[in-house]
Amino acid sequence: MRAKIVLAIYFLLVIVSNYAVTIYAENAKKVEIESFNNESLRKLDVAYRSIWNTFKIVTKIHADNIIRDQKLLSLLRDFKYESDPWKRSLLRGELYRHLYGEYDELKSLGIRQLHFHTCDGKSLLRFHFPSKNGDSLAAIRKSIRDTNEKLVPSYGFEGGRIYSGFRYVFPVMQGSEHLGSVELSIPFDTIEKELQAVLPAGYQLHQDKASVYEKIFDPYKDIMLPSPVLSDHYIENPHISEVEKKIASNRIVNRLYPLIAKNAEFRHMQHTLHNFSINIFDGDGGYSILFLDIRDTEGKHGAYLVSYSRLNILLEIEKRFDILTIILDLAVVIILTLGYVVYRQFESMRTQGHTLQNLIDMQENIILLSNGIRISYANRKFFDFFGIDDLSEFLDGHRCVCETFIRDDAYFHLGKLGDKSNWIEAIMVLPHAQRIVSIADTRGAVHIFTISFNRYDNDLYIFSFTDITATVEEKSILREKTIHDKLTGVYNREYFDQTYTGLLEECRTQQYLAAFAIIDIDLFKRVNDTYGHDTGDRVLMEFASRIDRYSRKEDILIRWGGEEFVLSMKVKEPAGLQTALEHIRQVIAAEPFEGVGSLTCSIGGTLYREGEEIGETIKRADEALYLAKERGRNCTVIV
Amino acid sequence: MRQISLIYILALFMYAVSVEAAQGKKVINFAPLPIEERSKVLKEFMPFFAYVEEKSGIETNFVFETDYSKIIEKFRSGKIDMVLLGPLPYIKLRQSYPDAKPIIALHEKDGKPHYRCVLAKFGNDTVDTGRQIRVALTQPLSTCGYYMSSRLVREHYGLDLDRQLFDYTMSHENALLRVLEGRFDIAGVKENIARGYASLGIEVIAQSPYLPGFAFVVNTRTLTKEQIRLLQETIASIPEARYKEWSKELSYGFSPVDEKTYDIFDVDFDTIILHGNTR
Repeated sequence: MRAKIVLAIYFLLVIVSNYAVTIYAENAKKVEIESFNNESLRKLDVAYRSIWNTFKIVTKIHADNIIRDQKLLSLLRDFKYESDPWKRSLLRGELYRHLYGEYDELKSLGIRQLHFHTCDGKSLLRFHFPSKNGDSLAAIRKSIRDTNEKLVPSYGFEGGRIYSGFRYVFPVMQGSEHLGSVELSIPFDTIEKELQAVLPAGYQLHQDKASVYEKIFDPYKDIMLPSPVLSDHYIENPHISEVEKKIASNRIVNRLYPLIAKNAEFRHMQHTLHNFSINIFDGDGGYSILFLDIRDTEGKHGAYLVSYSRLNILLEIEKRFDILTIILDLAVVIILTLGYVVYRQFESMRTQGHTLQNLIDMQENIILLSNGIRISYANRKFFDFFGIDDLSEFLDGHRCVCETFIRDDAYFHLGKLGDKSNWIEAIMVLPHAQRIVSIADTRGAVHIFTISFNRYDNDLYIFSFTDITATVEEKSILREKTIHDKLTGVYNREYFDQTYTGLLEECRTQQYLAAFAIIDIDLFKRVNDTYGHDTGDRVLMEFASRIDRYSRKEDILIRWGGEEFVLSMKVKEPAGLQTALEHIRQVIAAEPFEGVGSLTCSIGGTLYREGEEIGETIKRADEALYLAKERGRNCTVIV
Repeated sequence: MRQISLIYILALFMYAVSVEAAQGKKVINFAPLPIEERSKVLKEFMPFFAYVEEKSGIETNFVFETDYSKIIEKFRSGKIDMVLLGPLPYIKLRQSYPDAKPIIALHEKDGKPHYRCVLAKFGNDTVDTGRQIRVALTQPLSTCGYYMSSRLVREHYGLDLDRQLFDYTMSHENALLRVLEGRFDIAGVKENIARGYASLGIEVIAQSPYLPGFAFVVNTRTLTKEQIRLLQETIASIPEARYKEWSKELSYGFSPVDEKTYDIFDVDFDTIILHGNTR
């Protein structure tokens, strides 16, 4: 169940993470594209303003030429003061005749309109539509109003009675006398031509209904057509505008129209009447559509300069972020999958750990994980042994497990560290058989442990304390059996063979003389023959007991065979040997043995001579015994 | 039995053909003036023909041609059923194709089915007839072009136009503007257009009698009498409220054509000089 829940969470995380990654990538892409579009918009704005300012200079030069023309000024002055309509018409005609050449030249420069206005803002003569004049423009044309009121040039995009245009209006003065104004207007076609030279693209001017379309004389409204994309906007009729004619035959732009109209961002932004941009991804192409807000002379939205560009970089950005999204999605899946796998491994290890813990806890051995001082881990056996619940309880009272080692010289303990800095180092150098410690359990019972250890890592060792208390005890009993004479209980020759080198070494180090004596019961055969072997055995037991009792504490009695015993001794000087042996001989002879009466013994003693084989020493003692027998028994001979 | 079936089917076919012939075509081919832009024509005439179709059931298909001669050629070959023509082009068509018949005249701005051609000059100019005068004309086959201008020049100045300097400017407005610019002394144009330039000092110095206006001319070979009657009645009865909504040429009203008004024309087309002599 738990695994299923974890798996479900994993899938949920994958889905949520991938969704989050997708959202993130989409946002990042949007930011980059927006940044790109903003930069494109900025470039378009700069290009548009540069062109606009260039024409400001061009029109100013031409306007200056026109308004310095004395004949023109004369005609305008006459017109100003002429009240007869027919004469005014003739003056208008003269004006046309005087300047039509100039107008042709202006047209060749891309200036569509040359328009004179009266002082009160009425149309005096439109060169682009000469028969249409006399209408009042002041109400709908701020540029004309401002110029004739303030007598300063006025510039800006503006609608009109016929054509809209990028207006440059200059006051016409003769001296200090105001004669009216002249306007040079540039159609969007001219601006577009210049834009193409700087930033090649498809351009369109979508003009605001209120700012442009509604000002047009009714009979001329068909020079504008509703914008194919922007509501309340109009474009110039392709019959009038070369740009629109070109755009009308542009299949890509025509294909983009419905896509733009459906674009959610466009539908939201078009009503803001500020700069904005959208991107259309259509099959094989990425298109950037920029909407540059063109303000009219009143500072209101007058038109949108719309640019259509096919930009491969948009597709590249799109592709890059698609790849990024896939990579991030894959990375998320991989990371989460790895996390899941690690979790499963961890779970598996934890399960195995539990199993291992159980396994270790079931061990008879105490298992420790330690650096030699501080215990990091201990099994249940350890806690049971010390009667504690957990490791912290043990660590409250002990810094090291070695503190529990009993100072028994038979085993390793801290007193045997020698030159080693810790018990690990000290025990390491010991043979395996000597890596034994004794520890008291919670009830005070002493247990003997062999210690084995293995390195776990750079710092830790795994220690295994195997309780060999029972084995040691059994071994001790067995050993006792193998080194003692079954009848008399004293050591036998086996023991002698095992220990004589130790005795010799001990004497050597302690500056003693090693001495060996063979003690033989005189005429023991008679006892057996007379009283039987059981009595003989009891005599041997009594004999051994008596020697053991009356010999020195450090002397060791060994039944050599039959009625012969060897006494190994440590003496300071040869004379001491004689005294000790003689004392034994006397106590044997002094007291009768039960059931057989008094018995005597003969003793042959000798000192170990440095470097000789022990056999030679025993043989010499035997020769001394022989001499004692020769001398009549019941005597002691030292050789 | 088989023969009876065949005869029955044949009879049905013949009946269908005879009905079609009697009722005439449901779709007529209309050629507008050749000087107009196609989309402009469509925009101007679509509401008009939509109305005609609604009232008469006759649909219209537009045939665009670039000049009168091609329109006349197609008219004669039966590919055009109806055409909008000025009086002179109609006269020319009628001379070679008597089955052309004007049925409805378009009214001018004054609400009448006729107009005048005039000679116009700039008020400050004096026409010196002591030398060749310069005459700006519209188009060769325009009624106010060479045909009527030559008559007016003769009547007003007693001069033969072909001995003066003249050229075609391709529109009435251009002819007037060339006079304004001083490049020509006089212009031969439609009266209402010349009057429109009065505010520029253009004055009318001679005018023709009233001439029949532009008219829808039908091909009586391709259309049935019933269709012609239906078209004429339908167009002539368009209410004023309706046609006032339409474009300029169609907004002044319609009336049936009195063919006698064309009697004023006595044209020898061979005398019309098709190219100017100023260059």
